[in-house]
Amino acid sequence: MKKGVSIILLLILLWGVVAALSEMPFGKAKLEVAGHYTDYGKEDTGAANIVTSVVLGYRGFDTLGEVTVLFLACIGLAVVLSTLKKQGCGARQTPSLILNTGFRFLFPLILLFGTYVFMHGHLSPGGGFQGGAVIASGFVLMYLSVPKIKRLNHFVSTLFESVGGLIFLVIGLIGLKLGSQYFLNNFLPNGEFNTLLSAGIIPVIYIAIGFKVGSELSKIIDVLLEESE
Amino acid sequence: MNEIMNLNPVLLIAVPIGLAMLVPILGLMSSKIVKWVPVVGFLFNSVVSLAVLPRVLNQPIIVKIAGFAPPFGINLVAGPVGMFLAALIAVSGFLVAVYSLDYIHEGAAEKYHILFLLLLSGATGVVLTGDIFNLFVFFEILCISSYALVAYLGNRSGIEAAVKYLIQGAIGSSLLLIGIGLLYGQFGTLNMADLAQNITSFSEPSVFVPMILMVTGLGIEAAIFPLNAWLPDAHSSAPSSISAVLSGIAIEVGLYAVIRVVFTICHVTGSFFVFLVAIAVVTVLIGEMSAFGQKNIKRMLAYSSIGQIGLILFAFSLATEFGVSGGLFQMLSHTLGKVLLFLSAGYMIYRTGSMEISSFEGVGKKMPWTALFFTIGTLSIIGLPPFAGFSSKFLIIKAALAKGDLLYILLMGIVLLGTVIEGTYFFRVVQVIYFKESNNKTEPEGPPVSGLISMSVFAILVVLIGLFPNAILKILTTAASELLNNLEYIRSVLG
Amino acid sequence: MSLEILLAIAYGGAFLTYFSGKISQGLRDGAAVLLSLGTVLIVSSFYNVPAASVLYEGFLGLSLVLRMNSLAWFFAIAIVSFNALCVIYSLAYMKDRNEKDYYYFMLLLINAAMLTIVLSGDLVTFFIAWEIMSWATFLLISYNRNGALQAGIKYIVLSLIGSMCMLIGILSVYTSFNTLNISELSGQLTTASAGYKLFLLIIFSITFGIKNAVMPLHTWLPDAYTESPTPFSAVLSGMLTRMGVYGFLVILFGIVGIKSVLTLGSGFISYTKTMAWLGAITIVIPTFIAMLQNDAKKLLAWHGIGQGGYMILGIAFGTSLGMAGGIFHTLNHAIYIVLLFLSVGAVEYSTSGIRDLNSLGGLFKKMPIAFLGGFLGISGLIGVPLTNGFVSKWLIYKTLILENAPFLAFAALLGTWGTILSVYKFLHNLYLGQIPEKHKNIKKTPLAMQVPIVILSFAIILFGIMPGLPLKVINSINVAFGFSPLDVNLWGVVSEAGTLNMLNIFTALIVFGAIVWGIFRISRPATLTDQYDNYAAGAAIPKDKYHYTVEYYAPFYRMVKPFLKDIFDLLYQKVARANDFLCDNIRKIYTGYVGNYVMYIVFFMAFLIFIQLKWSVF
Repeated sequence: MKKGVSIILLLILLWGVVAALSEMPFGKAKLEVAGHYTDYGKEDTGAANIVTSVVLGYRGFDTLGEVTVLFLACIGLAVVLSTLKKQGCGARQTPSLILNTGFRFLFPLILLFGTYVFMHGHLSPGGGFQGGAVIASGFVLMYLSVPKIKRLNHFVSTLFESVGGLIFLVIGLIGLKLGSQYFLNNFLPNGEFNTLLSAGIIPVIYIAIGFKVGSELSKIIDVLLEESE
Repeated sequence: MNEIMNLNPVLLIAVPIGLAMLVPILGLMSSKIVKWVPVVGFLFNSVVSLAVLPRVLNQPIIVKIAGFAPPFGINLVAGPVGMFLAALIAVSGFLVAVYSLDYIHEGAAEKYHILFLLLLSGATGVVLTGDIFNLFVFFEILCISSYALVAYLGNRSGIEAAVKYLIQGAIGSSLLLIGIGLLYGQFGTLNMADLAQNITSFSEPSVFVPMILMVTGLGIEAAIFPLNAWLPDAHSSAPSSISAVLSGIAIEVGLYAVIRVVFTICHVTGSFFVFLVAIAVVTVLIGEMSAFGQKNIKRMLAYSSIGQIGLILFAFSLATEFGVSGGLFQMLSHTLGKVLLFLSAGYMIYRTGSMEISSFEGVGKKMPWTALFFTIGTLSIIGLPPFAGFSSKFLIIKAALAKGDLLYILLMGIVLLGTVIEGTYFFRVVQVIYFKESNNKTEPEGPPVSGLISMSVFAILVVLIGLFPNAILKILTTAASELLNNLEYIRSVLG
Repeated sequence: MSLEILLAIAYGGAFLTYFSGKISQGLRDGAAVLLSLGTVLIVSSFYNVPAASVLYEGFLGLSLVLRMNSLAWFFAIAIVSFNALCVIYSLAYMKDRNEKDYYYFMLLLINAAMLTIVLSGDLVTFFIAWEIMSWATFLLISYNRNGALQAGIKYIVLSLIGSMCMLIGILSVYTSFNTLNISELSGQLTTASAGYKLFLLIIFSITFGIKNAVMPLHTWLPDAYTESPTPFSAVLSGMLTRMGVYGFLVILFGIVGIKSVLTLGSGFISYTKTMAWLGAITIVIPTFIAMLQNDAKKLLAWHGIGQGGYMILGIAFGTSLGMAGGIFHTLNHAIYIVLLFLSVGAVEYSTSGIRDLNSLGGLFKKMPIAFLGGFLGISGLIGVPLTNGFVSKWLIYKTLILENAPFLAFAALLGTWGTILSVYKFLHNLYLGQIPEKHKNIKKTPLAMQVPIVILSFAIILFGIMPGLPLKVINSINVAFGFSPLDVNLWGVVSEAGTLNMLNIFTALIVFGAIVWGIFRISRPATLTDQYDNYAAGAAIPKDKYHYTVEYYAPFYRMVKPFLKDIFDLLYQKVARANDFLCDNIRKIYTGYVGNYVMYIVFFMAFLIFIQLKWSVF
C-alpha cells in the first residue's frame, strides 16, 4: 500500500519533470549567458580555462560561498563528532610493506601533482578544489600506510584553513577598494594570455583555495580517524 | 556617518564570513577573545545595514560582484526588502551574540561562534542576493550551519533531531537545485531579474514544475505545512540562543525566499495565491493546535513559530500592498517576540534545569526580569496592544478585509481562532510563571548581565515598535511595492 | 486640564505606585489613594465641559483621539470613583497579602485602561485600551492562585474571542469608510446597507455581549468574580463588566444610530427584539441559579449576570425612557453590587476567608457596618423603593409596558422575584440567625473598609430619593444620541406613562414607617433568649449542627436544580475538552518517523504538479 502510493507519487513527479524538460531548448544556442562566457571569457578574465573564468571570474562570489560551505562542513563535522562518546573500533591492522613503501614513493608526487593542479587552474582543467582534493588524498594514503599514526599538526592545518579563506576574502576586499571598486574585482594585470602568470587574481585565489581545501579535507579525515580511535 | 552610508552592502556578507574564518586563528591565540567576534561582526553589520537602509528606500543599490553586469555576473540587490531583512538579521544577531557571551559556556564554544556567524551571514546572503544560484549557495550555508548547531549540545535528542532535519533539509536543497537547473535549462540565465523578464506565464509546465520544486525546497526551510515536520524537534533541541535564531530568523529567511520566487521570479497571479492562503491557514491551525497541548516550553515555542509562519504566509498570499507590508511587519514582530521568548526561556530552563513548563513554578519571583521579558514577548506574539505584534496583526487583518471577499474574511476568522488558541496556551505559561508557588526553595538567581542586556533591548524594541509603528511602516510600504511590482525590480536590476 | 494629562496621571500613577512600593509600603498605599482620589477630582472637573484632543497623530495611518462628552463623563466618573473606593478598601483588605505592589499596579492600570476606553474618540484607541484592560484583568484575576488560574484562563479565552471579533468589526469599518473616528462614522454609516449594519452589530454584540456576560456568553463571569481578590471583584462587577454596556451604547447609538438599529430585521425577528429577549433570558436564568449558590461571592456573581440583563433590556428598545433606565441601572447596579462585594469582603476579612453561606450567620452584631452595607445593597438589588435600584427598574418596567412587551415585563418581574428570594438567603446566612461558635470572636472591620461601605450606602439612599441628580446627566446623554429628553426633576421623572416622584414615596413611607414603629412601640416588647436555650426533647443540643442556615431553600433547590444546569458552561467545557482532544491528536501528524515526513514533502509536490498538469488549475 505504502509502496504503491510512493510509486504513484514519484511517477507524478517524474511526469512533471519530463513535462518541464520536454520544452527545454536542447541543442539550440539560445543560452545567451553561456554564449557570453564562451565569447568574452577570455577578454573579461584573462583565463585560458573557460570553466575557471566562470568559477572564479563571473561567479566568483558563488565560489566564495562554496569555500565557506566546505569550511562549514568541516566545522560541523567536528562539532557533531566531538560531542559523541568515544568508542574504539578494534585493533588496527598493520599496513603492509608494499603500502608503506608505495606511500613513501608516492606521497611527494601526489603533493606535487596537487600543487600543479591548483596552480594551473586558470590554464588547464582543474583548480583549487581539485588540487586540494588531490593533496588530501595523499594524506589519506598516509593514514592508511604509516604504522604509527602521525596526527595532523592542528596548528598548521588551522592556519592553512583560515589563512586560505581569508586570502580569498581579502583579495575580494582589496578589489573593493582599488580600481573600479567592485568586490572580487580583478585588480591585478591580466598578463600574457595562457601563461602561468596571467588572469590577474585568479591564480592567487586558486592557490589559497588549494591550500584551504587540501587542509580541510585532510582535517575531516583526521577528525573521523580520531573518532574511531 | 556619510562614509558608513556609502559602504558597499556586500560587506554585510563578506565581513561575517571573514570573521568566521578568522576565529580559528584567534582561537589559537586566546580562547577568551573568540566569543567577542560575533558581537563585533554583527555590531558592524547592524550599523552598516541601518545606515544604508534609508538610502535604498528611494533607489535599490545594485552591487555587481567583480564588476560584471547582470545577467552575466552575480549581483546583490540591496532593495528595501533585502536591506530591511538584513538589518533585522544583523540587529537580532548582535543581541543574540551578546546573550551568548555567557550563555554558551560548554561544548566547543569556538565552533559555536563560527557556526553562528556563518548561519547569519548565510541568511544575509539569501536576502540580499539577486542571483538564484547564489541564493542556493547561501541557503546551503544557512542550512548546514543550522544542522550542526541543532546537534551542538550533543545529546541524543539533539543528534536525532539534527539527522531528521538534515534528511529533510537535504531533500529540500536538492529539490531547489533541480528547480534552478530546470529554469536555467529553459532560459539560460540565473539572474533573478533576467529570469523574471523571460518568464511570461507561470502556469506552463516548464515554469510551473520548477517553481513547485523550488517552493517545496525552500518551503521546507520556511516550515510551511506539510513540509515542516523537522521544525519542532530541531528548534527544541538546539541551545536556546540558536533556537531563537532558527525560529526568529532562519525560517523567515526561508519564507522570504519562497516569496521571492513566487512574487518576483515567477510573478504568480490568481488562484495560486488562493492555494497559498489555504496552506497558510492550515499551517496556522496545525501549528497553534499542536502547541496547545505541549508540556515542553521549547517545543511549544517551536510549534508557535509554525503558526506564526502561517500567519506571515497568509499575509503575503493576499498579494496586496497592505498584505505584504503586514507580512513583513509580522516578520519583524515575530522575530523580536520569538527571539525574546526563546532567550528568556533559555535562562529559565538553565536555572530550573528542566524544559517542562510545570517546572517554571515560582520563576516569576526568582527571576523577575526574565519572567517580565517572557511575558512581554508573550503579549507581543499573541498580538495584544501596546506591543509590536498588535500593529502587524492589525495590518494583516486590515489587508484581508480590504480584499472584500467573503472567503478571505472566513479564512481570517480561522486564523484568528488560531490566535485565540495561541493566547490560551501562552497565558497558561504566564500563569505558571507568576501564579504558582514552587516547592523547592532555591536561591533566586537571575541571568548574567549580558543576558539581561540583550533581553531588555529586545523587550524595549518590542514596546517601542508597538508604540511607534509608523517609522517601520514607511520602510515596509516601499518594500511591499518592491515585491509586488516585479517590473520595477527588473528595471532597477537590468537597467 | 487636558485629557492627555488625565490619562498620563492615570497610567503614570500606576507605575508610580508600583515603584514607590519598592521604597516603602506606606508610600505606596499613600500614592495609590492620592492618585485615585486625584483622578476623581480631575474627572469631576470635566462636568459639562466637553473636550477633545488628539492623543497620537498617525498611528498606522490613523489618529488616536480622545473626547469628553456627557456619556464619557458619566462612565468616567463612575469608574474612577469606584476605583478610589476599592483602593481605599484594599488598604485594609489586602494588608496581609503578598505582592501588593503588583496588585495596586494592576488595579490602577485597569482603571486607567477603562478610563481610556470611555474617553476614546475613535475605535482604535478604544480597542487598544480594551485589550490592555483585558490582559491586565487576566493578570489580576489570577492573583489568588489555585482556582483562580482556571478562572483566569476562562476569562482570557472568551475575552480574546471577543477582541478578535471586535478587531474584525473595527477593521471592516475602516476599510469601508476609511475613518475610525466615532463622530465621523456616525454620519457615514447611514449610507451603508442594512446587511452590513447587521453584520457590524452582530460582530460587536458578540464582543460586548461577552464582556457584559449576556447569556449565552456569560460563562467566564461566575468563576472570575468568585476567584478574584474581593476589592477587585467589586471593580470587575461594578464597572469593568459594564464596559460592555458602554460598548453597546457606542456601537448602537453612537455609530450605527438609533434609527437604523430600529429598522434592522423584518417582522417578528429584529435585532432589537433579539437583544431584548436575550436580556430577558439573562435576567431570569442566572437569577435563579444564584439562588442555588452557597458561595457568597458566586451568588453575587450570578446576580451580576442577571442585572446585566436589565440593562440590555432597557437599552434594547431604543426609547429615551428605556435608555435612561438602562444607563441609570448600570450606575445603580455598580453601586449596590460593589457595596455587596465590599460587604462580603468584610466578612471574609473578619473570618479569615470564609464566604461559604452554610457556615456563616449571625454576624449582624459583630459587624454592623458590613451588615448595613449588605442590607442596603440587597435592597437596591431588589429595587425596594427609596433605594436607587427602584428608580431604574421603574424606568425599565415603564418602557416594557409602553412598548407592549408583556412577556418581557413578566420575565423582568420574575427576575425580581428570584432576586428577592436569593438575596434574602444571602443576607440571612451572613448576618442574621445564629452565630456559629467559632465566629464569636472575630476581627473587627477596619476603618478603611468601613468608609467605602458607608459612602456607597449613602449613595444608594441618595440616588434612591433624588434620582434627578444622575438622571440629569443621563438626559444629556440621551439628547446627544438623538433621543427626546425626559422631563426630569430632582425627585423623579415625569413621563407619558406615569410620574415618578420619590419625594411623595419618601413621605408616604416615612409616615407609614412611623405608624408601624408606633404600633410596635406600644405592643409588648420582645424578650431575648440565648440561642442555645432551647427545648429538644430533653437532649443536649449540639452546638453547630442546628445551624439552620445550612441548606437554605433545600426543597426548592431539589425541585429546580435539574432545570437550572448552566448548560452553556457545560457546553463550553465540552468544547474545551474537544479542543484538548483534537489538539492532542493533530500533533500526531508529526509522527517522529522521517519516512512519513518525506512522504508529506513528496505528496505536497506531487499534488500540486498533478492538479496543474491534469487540469491546469492555476
